[in-house]
Parts: sequence; structure tokens; C-alpha cells
Amino acid sequence: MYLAFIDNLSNNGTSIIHDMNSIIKLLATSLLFIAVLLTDTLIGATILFIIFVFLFKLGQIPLATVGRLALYPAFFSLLFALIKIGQSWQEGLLIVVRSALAALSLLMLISTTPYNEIIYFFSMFMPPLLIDILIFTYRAFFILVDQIGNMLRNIKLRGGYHRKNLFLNIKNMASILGVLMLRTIEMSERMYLIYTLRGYDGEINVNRYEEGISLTDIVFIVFCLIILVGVIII
Amino acid sequence: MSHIHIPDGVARDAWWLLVIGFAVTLIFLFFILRRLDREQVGKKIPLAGSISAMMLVTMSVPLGFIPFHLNLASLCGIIVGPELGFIGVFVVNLILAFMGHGGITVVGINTAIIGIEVLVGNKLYGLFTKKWKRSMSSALATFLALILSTAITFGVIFLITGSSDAILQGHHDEAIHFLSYSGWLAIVIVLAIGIILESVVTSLIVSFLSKVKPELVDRSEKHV
Repeated sequence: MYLAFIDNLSNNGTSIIHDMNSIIKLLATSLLFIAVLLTDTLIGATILFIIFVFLFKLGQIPLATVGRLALYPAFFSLLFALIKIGQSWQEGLLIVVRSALAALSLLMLISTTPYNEIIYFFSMFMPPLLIDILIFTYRAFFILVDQIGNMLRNIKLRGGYHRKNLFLNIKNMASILGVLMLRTIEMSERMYLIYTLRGYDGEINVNRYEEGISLTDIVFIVFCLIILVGVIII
Repeated sequence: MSHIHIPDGVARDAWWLLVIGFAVTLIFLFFILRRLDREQVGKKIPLAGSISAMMLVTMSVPLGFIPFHLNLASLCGIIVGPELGFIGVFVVNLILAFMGHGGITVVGINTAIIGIEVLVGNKLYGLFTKKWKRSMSSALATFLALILSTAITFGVIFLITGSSDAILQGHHDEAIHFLSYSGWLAIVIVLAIGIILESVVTSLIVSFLSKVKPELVDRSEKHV
């Protein structure tokens, strides 16, 4: 899972994109995202890809590691592409490329914006209960990912995992997941007690550091707006 | 989960379907959040968060040479019930959308499809445990829930792409025709393997939990 890697990147990155105002960045990325969805030509998609490569470079995001995640939507979009390919191969290819580009825009956003800023944005229109669940999920994820990492290491050291022995893997992974499920439920009870002691009454206050709007923010959002207008005109 | 996370950009022409997906999910979420007991809500939120995290973590468990990951949506439905399970699926889909797994415009429709898996898995398990052992019941409930959610996913795919004409008739070009059929066959095989694997793993986990903490999977007991 790359979430831990991306979380580290978004919190500790020092690039020009990291330093931008989060709300402006979210709005600008939304413009890029819409531009991707509206792209109708392979040339337009290629230009957008080049723009994303440039933005990844600017944001000091390792394209080979983070960009690899865009291959998942590309793979899943193959289903749709296979249907469209019967009508026109360009349309089929465009579906795959568009899915990957849409993923790249979101990956760029989360690789340069700390999770609390994104959650703060969600808190503007989502019910507090869902925001709390998002926060608990994020917190629990990093605890559980450590636990499962240790359990997997243990089981590999004891010879319980072989790349070619599917039956052994399934049996042992099921045991690991069973233990993890137990620990998850115990952890949620512990979390509840800890939060109650800290005064939790069913709502976590989401605060953020107030940022001003710099010239870079304005340049970036205008740049994204030009791209969107360009895509619409073309 | 059905393992077909519909990505962004494929349902552009079927925007109405995305709107319906969001509407269905939001209506479900609205009623679930309203029904949560105010006194219990503080306890259930960490549980829902932890279960969502568990679903996310499960995806990183390797199974060897098979390019496939587990999701355990049906199992979560069995253990925590359909309401918290549905919330968990929504949160997981939202986080995954940012990771390129699924899409932000299709969070609604993906949640609705996988939410059905949670609901059906939960209800069928309750029904089957009256007759059969828990492990057998969970395997069958998961298998049927996955078949249903996969069928709905394929229905959505046909709605998004316009009709089934493209796959049934296709183009007159034989090479493209062959590519379409062989591609679909490969997808069906991968999905079939995935459904069987997830059902077996769910059954093994339920069997394990029956031994160490039976109240979690016992339908005669009250839910967590």
C-alpha cells in the first residue's frame, strides 16, 4: 500500500506545489481534473500527460513510484475500452488514457497536500460524523498497516508464505486477517475509551493553519484555468 | 468487493448514472447516520473507522502469483452489520479514489454496488446460518453477494457504454473482434478466480473467529 509513502511525501515535501494554499490547490486541481474528463482527442490527452509530468517534477513527486498507481484505473478502464474498441480503437485508447490522467491529477493533489487539509475541505460540506470516521480510518490505517507488516514478516520468516503455493498462502493469510480483525475491533474499543477520556462527544473539531494567497497560487490557478479553456476550445 | 473499481473518465457520457449513484449513496448514508443511536454513536464511529482501515489494509495482503487482492466487504457486513459496513465502504472508496483505485466522480456508484455486496452478504449469512455451519454459510453468502455485485457492475458497464451491441456484434474487423472476446474471457476468468478466492478466505476467517471469538460471527448474539 502506497498510502504511507504518499502521506510522508505530502507532509514532508518542500516543493513549490507543497507550499501553495491548499484550497487554491484543490480548486486548481479540480480544473485540471475537469480538463481531463473533457479531453476528446489523443493529442489533447498527450499534452495533458506532458503537463502532469511537468507538475510531478515541480512537486518533486517520484513519477515512477506514485505515477505507477495510475496504472490501476488504466487497467480497470480496459473493460470499457474493450467495448469501445469494436467501434474505434482511438476511442478505446482515449478511455484508458483519460482514466490514467484523472488518477494522476488526484495523485498529484494528495502527494502535495497533507490529509488534514483535504479532510478540512471535506468538512465544509460533509456531515461531522463522516468526517470523524475519515479521521479514525486514517489513524487506524497506519496502526494496522504496521501490525500486518509485522505479521507478514513473521509468517515469511517461519516459512508460511511461498510465492507458488497458493493454498498455503490462502490458509495463512486467512489466519492473519482473522487475528487482524480481532485486533481491529479491540483497537476501536481502545480508541473510543482514549477519545472519551480526552472529551470526545461524537465530534472531532477539524482545524487548520490559515494560509494567505500568494502570487504562485494565482499563477497556478490561472495556468490550470487556461488549460481547461484550451481543452474546451480544442 | 467485485474488484471492478469503475475509474474516472469512463462514464463521461452517462453522467446521469453517476448522479443516480451519488443520490443512492447519499440517501443510504443519510438514513444510516440518522438511525445511529446518539448514545452509541461515539462508540460506533471508531469501529466504523477501524473497519474501513481494515478493508484498506486487507488490500495489501499478497496471495502469491495471482494478481489479485482481497477486500472483505462481505465479511465486514457479516461482522459489523450492513449499516457500519456501508459507511466503511463509502470511506474506503473515497480514500481509494485519491489513490487512483476507482474514481472520485464514481464514488457514489462504486459505493452503491459494493454496499449491496455488504448488505446481501450480511442478510444471506443470517439466513444460511439457520441451516448450515458458519464457515459454509459465510462462503456461500460471500459467493452469492459477489456474483450479484459483479452482475450489477456489468449492468452498469453496459449502461455506461450505451448498450451491449458493442460486445455482441462489434466491428466487422476480425482482429478487433477476437481482441474483444479474448479480453472479456480473460476478465471473466480473473473475476471468477477472485470471487472463489474471496469466498474461501472469508469462510476461513469466519471459521477462525468461530473458534477464538464466536460472538463476533454468531447470529443468535447481539451485534457489535
